[in-house]
Amino acid sequence: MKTKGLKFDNKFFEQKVTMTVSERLNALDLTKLAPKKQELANRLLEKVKDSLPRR
Amino acid sequence: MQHNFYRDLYIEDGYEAFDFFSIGKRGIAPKRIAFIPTDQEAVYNLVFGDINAEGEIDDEVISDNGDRNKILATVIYVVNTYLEAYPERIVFFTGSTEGRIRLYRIVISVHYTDFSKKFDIYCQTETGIVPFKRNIEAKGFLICKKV
Repeated sequence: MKTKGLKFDNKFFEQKVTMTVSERLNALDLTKLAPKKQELANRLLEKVKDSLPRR
Repeated sequence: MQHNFYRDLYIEDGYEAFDFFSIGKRGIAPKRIAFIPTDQEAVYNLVFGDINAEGEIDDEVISDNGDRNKILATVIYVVNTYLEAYPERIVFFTGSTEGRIRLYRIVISVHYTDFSKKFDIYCQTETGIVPFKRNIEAKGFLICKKV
């Protein structure tokens, strides 16, 4: 399995982390992981879409 | 900031899903964190919990493994990693119960001084989205990297 590094501000947690790329995770359809939770999130966000932070 | 969290993570290549193992008094429980696109542009829903038999994330189960703080610290670490990879995105999350929403509010409050150096944090309330304050009744939370 390949490992993958990411440069980030390690001071946030000051500890080493091992991240291993998972082919099983790569094959996931994220939209099917939590359908009820996703429906709730979309419902909540629809109510406030005009005041979402702008990026 | 020093925190104890799970440091062996399995990741999706685009940093949009993470797996780890909760290890505690009830044994080993696989956990998953995912960032799922919502209907709102640039807003991604943070979902985490146990992986059920259907491969879905179950955020209602109580594992009772005695490592709640370690799991929450792991989620915080993952959110930080995700927003480093996608600084233009906004992470939204809510709790499956009022108790969990209150817990997340407390966690943010306790670490707000540190978090706010790097992130902008908002509450989603009945009336709209407002900057995070310690005693606001929130339905959900949004976090994004400071511009």
